[in-house]
Amino acid sequence: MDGRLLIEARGITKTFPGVRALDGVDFDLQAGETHILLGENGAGKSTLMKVLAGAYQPDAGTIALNGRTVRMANPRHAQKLGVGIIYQEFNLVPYMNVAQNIFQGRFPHRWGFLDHATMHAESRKLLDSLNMDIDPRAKVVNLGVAQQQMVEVAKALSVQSRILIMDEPTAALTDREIEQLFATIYRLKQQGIGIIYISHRLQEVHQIGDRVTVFRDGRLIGTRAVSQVTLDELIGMMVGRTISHMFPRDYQPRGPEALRVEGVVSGTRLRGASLTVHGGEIVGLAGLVGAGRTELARAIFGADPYQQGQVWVFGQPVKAANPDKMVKLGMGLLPEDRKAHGLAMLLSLSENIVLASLQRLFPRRFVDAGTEREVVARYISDLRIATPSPKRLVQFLSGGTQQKVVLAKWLCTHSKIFIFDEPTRGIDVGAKAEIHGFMNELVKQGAAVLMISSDLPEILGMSDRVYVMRQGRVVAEVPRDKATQERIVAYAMGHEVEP
Amino acid sequence: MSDVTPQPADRKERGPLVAWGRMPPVAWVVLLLIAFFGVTAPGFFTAGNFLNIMLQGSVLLIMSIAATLVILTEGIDLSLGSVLTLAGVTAVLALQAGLSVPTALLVGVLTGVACGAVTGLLITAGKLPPFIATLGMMGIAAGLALVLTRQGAIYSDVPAFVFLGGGTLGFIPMPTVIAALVFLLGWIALYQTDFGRYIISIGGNETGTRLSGVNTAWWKLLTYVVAGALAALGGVIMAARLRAADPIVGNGWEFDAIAATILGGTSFEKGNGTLGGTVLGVLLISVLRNGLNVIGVGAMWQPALIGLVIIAAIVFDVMLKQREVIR
Amino acid sequence: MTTATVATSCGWHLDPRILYTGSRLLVLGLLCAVLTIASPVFLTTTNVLNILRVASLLVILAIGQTVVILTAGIDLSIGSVLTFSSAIAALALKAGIPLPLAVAAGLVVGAALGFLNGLMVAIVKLPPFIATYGMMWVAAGFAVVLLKGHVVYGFDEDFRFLGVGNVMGVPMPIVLMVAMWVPSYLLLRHTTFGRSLYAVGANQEAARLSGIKKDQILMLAYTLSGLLAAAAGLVFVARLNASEAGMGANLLLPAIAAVVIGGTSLFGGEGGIVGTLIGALIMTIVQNGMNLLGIESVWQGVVLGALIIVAVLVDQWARKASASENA
Repeated sequence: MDGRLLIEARGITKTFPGVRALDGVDFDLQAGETHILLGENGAGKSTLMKVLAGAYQPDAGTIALNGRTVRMANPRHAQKLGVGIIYQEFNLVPYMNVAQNIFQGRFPHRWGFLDHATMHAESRKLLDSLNMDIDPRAKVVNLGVAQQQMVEVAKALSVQSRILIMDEPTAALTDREIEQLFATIYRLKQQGIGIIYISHRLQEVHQIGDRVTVFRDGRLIGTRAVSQVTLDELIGMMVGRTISHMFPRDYQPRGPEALRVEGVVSGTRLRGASLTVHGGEIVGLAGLVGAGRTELARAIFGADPYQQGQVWVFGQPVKAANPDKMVKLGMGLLPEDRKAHGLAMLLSLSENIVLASLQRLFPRRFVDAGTEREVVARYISDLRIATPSPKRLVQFLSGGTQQKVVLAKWLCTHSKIFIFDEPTRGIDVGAKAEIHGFMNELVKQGAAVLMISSDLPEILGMSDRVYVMRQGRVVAEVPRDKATQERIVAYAMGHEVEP
Repeated sequence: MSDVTPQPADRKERGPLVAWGRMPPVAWVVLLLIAFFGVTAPGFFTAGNFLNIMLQGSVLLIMSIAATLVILTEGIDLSLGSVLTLAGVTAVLALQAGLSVPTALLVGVLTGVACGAVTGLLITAGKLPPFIATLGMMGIAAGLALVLTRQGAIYSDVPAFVFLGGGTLGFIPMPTVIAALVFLLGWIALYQTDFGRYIISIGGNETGTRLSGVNTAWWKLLTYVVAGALAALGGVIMAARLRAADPIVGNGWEFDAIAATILGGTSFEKGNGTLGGTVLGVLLISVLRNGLNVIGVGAMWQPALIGLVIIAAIVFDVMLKQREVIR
Repeated sequence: MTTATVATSCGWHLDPRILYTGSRLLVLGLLCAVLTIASPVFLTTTNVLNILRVASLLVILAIGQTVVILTAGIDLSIGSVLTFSSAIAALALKAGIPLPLAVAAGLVVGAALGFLNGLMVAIVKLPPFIATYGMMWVAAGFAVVLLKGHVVYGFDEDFRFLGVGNVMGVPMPIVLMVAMWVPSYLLLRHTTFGRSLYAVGANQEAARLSGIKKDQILMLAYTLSGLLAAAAGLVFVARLNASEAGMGANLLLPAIAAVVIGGTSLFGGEGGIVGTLIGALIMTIVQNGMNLLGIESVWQGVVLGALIIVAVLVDQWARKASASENA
């Protein structure tokens, strides 16, 4: 960091209908620094990011790049001024090759036609400088997520970006790939490039950040040097209140065996995974991205087929599983991607809540409006779901509320076995605590819960026991009293662990 | 260093004509059909017959290229057949009004351009789903054709015009020459120009492409305009061949064009497809039609058999694709 | 949608569903009002019954299409299935088979073809567009074979009653339409099947992961579509007193138009047969109005195309309006 200000934004305000997304924000970015943005969902960090990238125009305030005041009319303009942004959803075209993706929108020409040779040569140079072994002729669809991300970085560099904005870059990466990303970031910093980095992973603040800025409700709460702030302080700033009971758990002796899984093999993703879950306990399932946790959950639930292995539910073996069968047996799965797999966005709260219980609630196939109303009202009140009406379409609800609806749906089935896949991902801290509270209630009433999470504090705070998966197998079972972040990470990565 | 994901990046892309590394199943079906007909029908394997196949497939090829370009953008154009009809009508009307042949051709093609522009605007500015916009345009264009011709065929015998449809360049029929030219231009456009890259980009990731600073609305609009122009060209050739513009001649052509495109391996999503594949698709349908004729299958049976083969080929292709994905 | 503060109450919230149906009722009302003023004949019993009678055929066909479109699919084969299944019934009648059996035969054939469609979509996992397109070809082709290019005509009184009879002054087509619409409405809105259907259309994977047997639902949807196409075909043949191979060809687009104009989304999960009924009425009234006002029938295609476009444009606007209200 050489103190030179790449960005100086003052008094940035941005309002959308009914919502003040940014309120008088002052922000700056120094050359060569990694500046992390923290905040709950809707706190304003992605809005600021988009303003700086030219995707939004601020209603008030000024932005100066390298000392010069600018007004960025659109992303193209911002790009020309040296601001590059990498969104979570990549801007890459799958069936075009790497070189063409890098030169998207600015293809070099020779005699009026595309100059493939130049694109290839330049891309090669760029990728080499990033230490990336990717063939410029490869079609993007054939690359892994981490490689695609590198292509995005190369793309940003190819337009001479001096500022790089990255939106949750590590969300879909394995730990190994995260290391490589950090190495790349370090290399970029050496070149004086300033990086704005949005993340929900608190541990990254100290891993990669130089300064960190916290947002809340559209306001910038504070900017600190990473070396001079603790995570608890940061959480306090994000939430504005101390969360005394981050992880509400009443531990109790466990009940009888509810779910047993042995030797499940499926494709290359699951190579013989085994675990058990008893009533009255929350079993955490940890592991790196790609270890096979979601695959295992889906296989257990019957959502995906598996070639070998066996699943027992309440002692009964299950053959040829499919979700319909598993639901009847009393199992529920809250999927990782609640929008894509957990809810029907076009349907109402009420319709979603009863969706998995149709046969149970209406055995004569006729949907009785009165019953539906009663049942739904009960869950809306029990789970404190914020909505003016049960007829509201689910697409209009916030993330935390949507997750509660998914939970309500499964509670309605009177299931006894729950598989939660990343139950609090992308949810603000307040709603997180609520959901944890509900999970606690569930097991107090005897349900068996399998909880997949990439949030280690959540795993440690909520689980009776922790299984760790690695490369398609469950490689460790760690009781609560022996569970530490280091231990779990070690198992997840295959390192030696002292007993 | 990245050992986490495999590196299939070394698979050489040997030119974008057809992905020879993985011969599409359609190619096999075509070869099979050719073999079958060659064996069962003596008249099939002659130069004359092959020229016949190419002639009959010419208009379909032009229409299918139009369909392919649109489908590559994750869109669809149901109005192609109606535009074909309408363009033939306007061209013949122009001839009847005494305009010169080149002018009449221009009128016909511009008809297609206009229809494509309207459709494109409805989709880009009006934000209508392509299915709806082109469905509406289909009705409008077909309706206009009926209105302009007063529901009957209209005729033209102008020699220069008729030559387009019935004449030959050397031994190659004119429609085939034109179709070959269209293919060549299409290939160049798709693989060697910005326009072609943007078509793939819009189909593959429209939002991302837009955020990369590309004016996707404009290029999408252009795609539909080009498709309309091509369909119009097909209509003009058709009218030249028939020496008449028939107000219902184009009915159903869009479905054949789309079928040929899909058979050729182009997906409805993600901008995945090749122009060479479309040629194969057109070849399949043309060989099938011709072959059934040559072995003497009654005209009555043809639609049914053709339908069965098409559906079988598509099922075959889709199932193979799925097997790959699972792997 | 950024929400710095979660909206927990916003007074009167716009339920998109009410908006869609309401806006269409409004249009229908306006249409009727305008035509009542413009023509003294419009609101007479004869004319109203006429409108309802013509619309009924469309509605019967469109109910099936609505069900399929609600699953985010489409059935391009209904025209051909209509032709083929009614041809079977017609030939059966001519062969002396008693009426109930002949009618049943037609219905069963239609349902069977629909079932095949469902198989292709749900089990083979073909895109609906392609599967039903193939079926369209095949069914149309075999209808030609079946009828050997002839027209089958001249049926008995009791069969023709289905098309031209009256029940207490109400034409049979209307009675039959109501007889099919009401149970269908109950099925879609008040049964677990209907709930599951909407869920499958709104989000197939989420529905499956909620324990819904999506394959079953899909197959039932297409079977229903085939069944209703056959029913529509029977009424059609009874009315025309003839069965010939080209009958159903021009019915596909009006059916889709009725569904779309009625507000059902092509992307599934939104809409219903209330909308389809209104859509069919709007279409028929527009046609009727044009006739009454002396506009040449040849313009009807153009108007239909424009109607489709306008209807969906209005929907887009409504969608945006409710989204910003509710955000």
